[in-house]
Amino acid sequence: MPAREARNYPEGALRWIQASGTGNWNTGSAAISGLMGFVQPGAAYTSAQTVQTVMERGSAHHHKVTQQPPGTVTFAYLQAVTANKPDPAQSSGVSTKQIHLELRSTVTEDPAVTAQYIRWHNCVKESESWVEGENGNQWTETYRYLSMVGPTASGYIA
Amino acid sequence: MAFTAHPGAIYNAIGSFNNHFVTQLTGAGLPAWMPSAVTNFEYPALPLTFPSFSITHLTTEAESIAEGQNLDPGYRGYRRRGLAEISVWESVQRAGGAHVRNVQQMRDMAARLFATGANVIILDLYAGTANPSGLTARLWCGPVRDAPVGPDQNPDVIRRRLLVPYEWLERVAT
Repeated sequence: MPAREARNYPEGALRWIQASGTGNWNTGSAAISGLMGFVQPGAAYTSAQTVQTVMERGSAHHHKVTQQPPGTVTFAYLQAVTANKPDPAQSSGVSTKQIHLELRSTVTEDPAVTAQYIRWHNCVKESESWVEGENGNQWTETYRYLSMVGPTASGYIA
Repeated sequence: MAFTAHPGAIYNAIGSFNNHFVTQLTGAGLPAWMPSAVTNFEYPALPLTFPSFSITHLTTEAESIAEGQNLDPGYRGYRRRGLAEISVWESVQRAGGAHVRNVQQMRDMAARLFATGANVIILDLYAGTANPSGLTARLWCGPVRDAPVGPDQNPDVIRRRLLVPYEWLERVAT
C-alpha cells in the first residue's frame, strides 16, 4: 500500500451543480454549477441511522437498521461575488430547488488517485444565515440531502 | 521567456501603496514652511534631504482564508498582511526650534492618508509604470501606529516613525 496523507482543508474544493430527480446524480444538460470560493473552515455533514438490537432469550443477538433519515451538510463562505452562492433553478421533475454538492480533496502524494470525492445528492436548503465580519462577511448554509457517497476516487464535477 | 507575474504580486501591491502615498500626500495642501513633499523609498541612505518622507516595506505574512485557496472564480491565493514603515526626516537646524513642529506636521500629513482606512486599487505595474491600469483588486491600509525611534546617529537629524499595516489577496490566476 502506498503511503497516504490525511486530507485537509487547504486541499479541498467545494462545488455545486443543479440537481433533479430523486436520490441520484441526475442533472439537466448544461446545468448551473459553480466552484465555491472563500469557503471557510468547518464544513461538516451529519448522518445517522436508527438501530434496533434484537434480543434472543434476554441477550443481544443481532441488529436491525429500522430507519435512515436524511442528513445535513453545512458550509460557510465569505461574501465575494454572486457566482459563489449556490443558486439552482427549479428544474422539472422535482418540486424543490435542489443541488448536488461535491467536495474534492486533492491527493498529491499518489498520482494514480489524484483526488478523493465526497458527494451529497439532492440537497435542499434548510437554512441560511449572513453575518457581517471584520475580515469578510460570512454566509452559512445548511442543506438536507437524500443520499451521500464517498470518499470515492472519481468525481462528477471536477 | 519573459516573467509573467500573478495579479497579486507584491511588486504590484507595494508599488500601489507607494503610488497612493506620493499622489495623495499633498491632497490637503503643503505646510507653508515646506517647499515640496519629497519621498524616498526603501531605506534611502543618500541623498537624505530635509524635510523628506521615506517609505520602507518591512515584511509580510500569509494567512489562509479559503478552502483550497479558492478565491473568487478564476483565482487562488492567500491573504497577505504587510507592514510599511513611514518615516519623516527633518534637520534640527531650524530657527526657533521649528524642527519639532515640522516633524509633527509631517507626521499628520502621512497619517491623514490612512486615518479612515484606505482602500487602494492595486495597479498592474508589471505592465508599465507610466499609466498603470487597475487590477480590480484592493489593498487595504492603515491606520498608522506611531512607533518609537531612538536618537539618530547624526545629531542633525530628527525623525518620526509610523507603521502602517496593510493587506491584500495575493491572487494567482488558475
